[in-house]
Formats: sequence, C-alpha cells, structure tokens
Amino acid sequence: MFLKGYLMLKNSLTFVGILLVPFFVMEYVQAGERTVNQLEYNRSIHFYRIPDVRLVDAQEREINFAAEVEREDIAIISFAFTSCTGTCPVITANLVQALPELRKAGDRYRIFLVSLDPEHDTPARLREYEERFNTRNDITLLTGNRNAIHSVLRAYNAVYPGSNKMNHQPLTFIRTAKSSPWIRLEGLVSGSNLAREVRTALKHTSRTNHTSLPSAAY
Amino acid sequence: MYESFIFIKKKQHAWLITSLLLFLSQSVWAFLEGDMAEGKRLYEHGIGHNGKPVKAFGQGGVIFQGEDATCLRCHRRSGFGGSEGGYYVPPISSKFIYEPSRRDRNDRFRAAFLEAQNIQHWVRVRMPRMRPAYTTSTLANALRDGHNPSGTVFDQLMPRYQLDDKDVANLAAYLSTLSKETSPGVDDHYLHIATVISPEIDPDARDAMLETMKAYVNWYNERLYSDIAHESSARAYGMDVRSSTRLWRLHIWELDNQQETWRTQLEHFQRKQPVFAMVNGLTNGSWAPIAGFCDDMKLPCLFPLTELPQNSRESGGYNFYYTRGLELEADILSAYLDKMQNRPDQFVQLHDSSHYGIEPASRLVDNLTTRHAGVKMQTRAYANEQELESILIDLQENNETESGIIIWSSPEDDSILGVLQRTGIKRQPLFVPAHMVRKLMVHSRDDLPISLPGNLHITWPFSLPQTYQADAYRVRGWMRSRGLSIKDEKIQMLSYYGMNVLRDSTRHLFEHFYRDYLVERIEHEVESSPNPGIYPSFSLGPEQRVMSKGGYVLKPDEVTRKSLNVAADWIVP
Repeated sequence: MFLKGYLMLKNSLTFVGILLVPFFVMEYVQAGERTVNQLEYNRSIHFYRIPDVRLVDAQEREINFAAEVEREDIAIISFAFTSCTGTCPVITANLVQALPELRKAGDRYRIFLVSLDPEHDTPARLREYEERFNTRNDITLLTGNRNAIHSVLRAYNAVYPGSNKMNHQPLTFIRTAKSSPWIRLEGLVSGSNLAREVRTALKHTSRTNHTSLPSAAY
Repeated sequence: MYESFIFIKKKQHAWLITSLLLFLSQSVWAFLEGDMAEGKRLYEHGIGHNGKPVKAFGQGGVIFQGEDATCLRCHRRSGFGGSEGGYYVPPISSKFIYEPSRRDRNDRFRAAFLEAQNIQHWVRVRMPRMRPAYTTSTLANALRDGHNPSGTVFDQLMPRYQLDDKDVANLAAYLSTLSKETSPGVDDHYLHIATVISPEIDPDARDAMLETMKAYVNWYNERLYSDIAHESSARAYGMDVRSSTRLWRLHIWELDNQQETWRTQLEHFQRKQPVFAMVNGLTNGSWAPIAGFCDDMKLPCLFPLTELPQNSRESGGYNFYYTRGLELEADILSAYLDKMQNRPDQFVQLHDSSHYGIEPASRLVDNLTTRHAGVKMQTRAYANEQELESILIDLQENNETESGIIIWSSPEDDSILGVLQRTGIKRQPLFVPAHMVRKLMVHSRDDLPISLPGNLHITWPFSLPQTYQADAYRVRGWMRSRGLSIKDEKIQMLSYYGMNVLRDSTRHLFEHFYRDYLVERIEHEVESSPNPGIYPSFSLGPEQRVMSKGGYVLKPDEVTRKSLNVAADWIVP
C-alpha cells in the first residue's frame, strides 16, 4: 500500500516535471531573447560662451544669465517647458532626484531649468511647476523673451530641429569649475547618473587643478 | 519506470493535470471583466479603482503618481502617442494593441518621414518590434514589468506601474474602446469641413475669407486628382498611401440673426452633414456659443477670426485661437501702464454697449484693481457716436487734462478715429485697440490713409507693420497664381493659414481619422506650418489653445502721423 502510494507520487511528480520542462525552457529562451534597448545618454566635452542675456525667474526677478551661471563653480543647465508631457517631467524629476547627492557638495551648485516655451511659461506658470516638482529652493526656473531664450539655445548648441520645440532633445550641461569646459549629456540622464557625472567631474577638476581639458570618457 | 508511467490512470491524476493547467493559466483567469469608466479615469487622471493615485517608477527609480503617471500624458487622449524630445511614443489605441503588430509603414510614415527628429528617434521608428496582440495578461506584464508580449523591453521613458489586477482589467476595458470608431465627417471619398458665417459681417471680409477657402479647397483637390492621374510621378508619393487620401468638401454654415438659436442651428447643420473639423469663421459678437458647440461635439475648431474668443479657456477643449483677442489687448494695456513713463493718475474708460466694448473694459478694471490700486479709473458706456463726442468735449472743457482716455468699441464702428480728430484732444494720452487702426491697412506695409492723433497709443497683438516675413511672399504668390487679389490681407492670410494647418495636420493622420488625434497633430504642427506673418510667431504645446500670446504698444510717427512706431516692445502679459 505504502509502496503503491510512493510509486504513484513519484510518477506524478515525474509527469509534472516533464510537462514543466518546455514551460521553463520557453521562459528562459524568451527572457534571453529580450532586447534590452534602453538608450544610454551620450556625453561630450565642449567650451560654450555663456550668453549675456537677461532672463526672468519664477519670482519675476530679472537676472543676468551669464552672471548667475558664473556665481558658483558647479552649474547644471537643462531645458524643458511646463506643458510638455513626455520627456520634460522626466528631465525635471531626474534633476530633483540628483539633489541629495549634489547637496553633499555644499551650496556650491546652481541648477537652471530654462523654458523652451517662454511665452506660455510665464513666471506664474513656472511657480506652479516649482510646486508640482517641489524644486523651489534648489532649481532656478527661467523664462524670458523669445530672443533671449534663443540666444541661450544657440550658445549651447541646443536649438531644436525643424524650428519646433516639440522636437527638442533632452540635454543636460554640467560644469564643475568656472574655468572648466562643459560636459554635454544628450538623452535622459537619471538622477543617480547625473550625480555620478558631477562627482567624477569634480574629482577630475580637483586633480587637474582646472587647467586641462577632461577626457570625454574619463 | 516507463511501464508505470504508461499505466498512470488518467482518473487518478486528473487533479494534477487540472492543477497544472490552472497554474499555467493563472494569469489568464485572474483577470475579470474590467470597468471601462474606471479604466478611463485611470488613463486620464491616474486614479485607481480604489480612488487613490496610482504609482509608477520611472528612469532611475523616480516615482510618478496620479496626474504625473497618467497614460494620457504621453499616449495622449486619442491613444496614438506621438514624438517628443527624440522619443517615439507608440500608439496604444484598440486597433493597435489588440491586433498583432503589423509592418505597415503608413502607421509610422509621419514619425519616420515627416518629422525633424534626431537620429535616435529615426532608429527607434524603424525598429519593427513585431509582437502578437496583447491580452489582459500580457498588458499587465507590459505595465508592471515593462516588456511587450515578445519580450522586448520598453524604453526608459515608459514607467513601470504598480497596478493590481482590477486596475489592469479596467484599463484593458478602456483601451479596447479607445479610438475604435472613426470620427464623423469622413467617408470613403470626402473629408468634410465647415466654416461659420453670421449675418452683419462686412461683405468684403466675408468674401475675403470664403474666396480664399474655396480657392484652397479647389487647389487641394486638383492636386489630389493630378496625383491620382500620375501615380508613378515622384511628386505623387502620397499615392503610396492612397487609402488615406480624401478630397475636401467645404460646407458654409450660415447662421441667422438670432444668436440664442445658434446652437440649434449648428446642431442642425451637423446632423445634415457631419464635418470632421471647422476652420476659420467670422461671426458678429462673441465666439462663445460656437466654441461651446465645438467642445460638446468634440469637433476641432481651428482659428476663428474673432476678437472675442471663448473666455477663460486657454487650455484643453477643441477650439484653437490666434490670440485671446480684446482680452489680451486689455492685459497688454495694463502691463504697459504698469511701466509707462508720465502715466496719468486717473483714467476715463469709455466703451460702447457691445461685447467688444463691455468685455475688455471690464477686464481692464479687474487688472487695474489688482495691479494698480493707486490708479483711479472711471468707466462709462456711450450709446452712439454723438454721445462719445460730447463726453470727450466735456472732458476737455472740464480741464481733466490729467486723465488718460481709453476707448473700446465694436470693430464694425468706423467712427472713433473721426471723433478723436474732431474733438482735437491733444494733451491727454489716448488708448485704443488695434482693430480701429488695423482695418485702415489693406496691406500691413502701407502707410495709413489718414493722420492719427499724436497722443494715440495702440495695443498691437500683430507683427509690426513693415516687418519682413519670408513666408508672406510665398502665400501672396500662391494667391496671385490662384487669381485672388489682396483685398483684406489679414483675413486672407489667416484664412490660408487655417487651411494650411488643417492640411498639414490631416496629412499626418493617414487613415486614422479621429478628431482627438487631429487636435494633437494641430498642437504639434502650428510651429512647423509656414507663418504668413500677420502674427510674429505661433506656438502651441499639449493642451495649449492660444497660439500668439503677446503684443506691442504702438504710437503714430511724430512727423507723418501716418505710420506707426514702437512705444513698447513685445509684451507677454
């Protein structure tokens, strides 16, 4: 009786095992064939002349863009617009995500998010955007007249294709010392990657004492 | 072993097989019928079946919740997605996700060939990414784990959602209905469009708009006939997508004097022959009744030629406007007064009894109350030209030389500048809206036929007179070659632009004739379509509905008084 039960259980398990083999094989093959096509961002090093234009922040204060960027060693610049639904919320959320890491550098950093749609993005709309992403004390949102914004875009080689802002690319620019060149990141850069880029650039800057061009690949 | 295996009695092991099948099909039976309304709420507002915001993880673990995690943000209301920032957002409407993916280049023709995107976008669009039709189970995997039924992992822009089975089932139920039925106004041969005209419109303005629109439709249809007749011609690449081409048929919806019945009249027209979109349009008075009709019918309504667009509707809905009209001019004026040198401390605001008078006057009072508490404003209505003249004479005789004078009137009233000349007010600054001066100019380059008072300030939401606009030459050339003389440059240019944006936007639809999709394409196209230059630039974005957002303040040239100079550069209030 006991033997019969044992054989039955053994046979059953074998049968189930045989049936499960193709299932696991299929899962394994499928997983192995999955195409991981997450796009990495591209990085390159450039010297840009910061445009001497007047922009307006969310508190309706007029600022000189070049002077503000030059105020601190670490400057991060990105572009977005408040009604953008796809990439801009991700760009902004990534900047916010990088903040805890950036704060470790003390208060030596400034982050600027420049509007690509300045006539729609009035200071009032920028304030709404600040509240939505809780950026008020850490990220300076900027708008201004069309020509001033276009000067910034031209200076950073960030003019969107087809004269249509809907074609804009996600771009982030990092500079870790006033005499350093800019690191240009093309694509969506996660908060942790952004913090890592700043960290690595800072190490490089302190090592080279701001005098040489960092390599594109460290 | 082998023998014992052969002799397993089916009856004894049926439970095991059943259990196994149930285990393997767990993901199938776990999903019950979803609730479409709750799925729509999740799609559009990011609210789950339990009434709480849904949560999703984006790139690098960034958390998005509720309104920031809606499907609508990227895939849009139509479910057709789009292209933004170099990223291609694929369509997820019912005909796409519940069918195996197909290698139909027409579906991606727009993204692949008609957009100035970067190389990353071009590569992505050309990836075939073949997959079977989604089921609720594979949809759950896509939403939670970020891969399609073939195992292809989604781009980092697509968040990974924390959704329970009920939310997935609800969303699946909604997606199965999304953009399923083609919108009314399109048949196998024609795409029907309408324009609206009300009585008491200046016959020249009416002719200017209608002649341009008719010429455009004729030109468009003739080109299509020509393409069909020469399919092998390189120019006729559109014939590769023959199934998506439609001849245009223009319907002119003439309303009567009874404004309170306009809604009924529009419904009657729409029942008689549904249209896919409404373009241009001239009405006397507020556009609000027509805007309400378009919103309720979900009928895209492109660029009515109105000074009184629907109030308080800068975002969302189905009506697109060039500007906010006289409301914008009142806002420009209050921003100008904010920084004006030698600004008077008090103002007298005079307006007629039409909406063109009452609405901007009321807006300006509100603005000054909130922004310039110290400025005194007296607002008075006048009934006719004689009353306006006597009020102005009184103001002069009572030595109220310190008051600024603001006048709002109907564009149909041609008498205001004449009254100002007769009364000879010289010392008080005068403020008037653009339409009083603009209509004197057949061409924006021409000098004015009359001399304007030197103390006149004109709010000017248009391009500066004599501004060079390359695309204007192209449009004038098009008109000349169609035999259209320029009678009213502003109306003709803008009528052309409205039709041109409709062409550019519908060209991107291919056979997907859905009105919500058209709205999304219009948002995308206005910056790319050639601007004939009446306004300096156009810009829209998702859910934006007003294309030009600012204006100048102009003053007559001090010597000639027949041309205009800039008193304040472009103001975006």
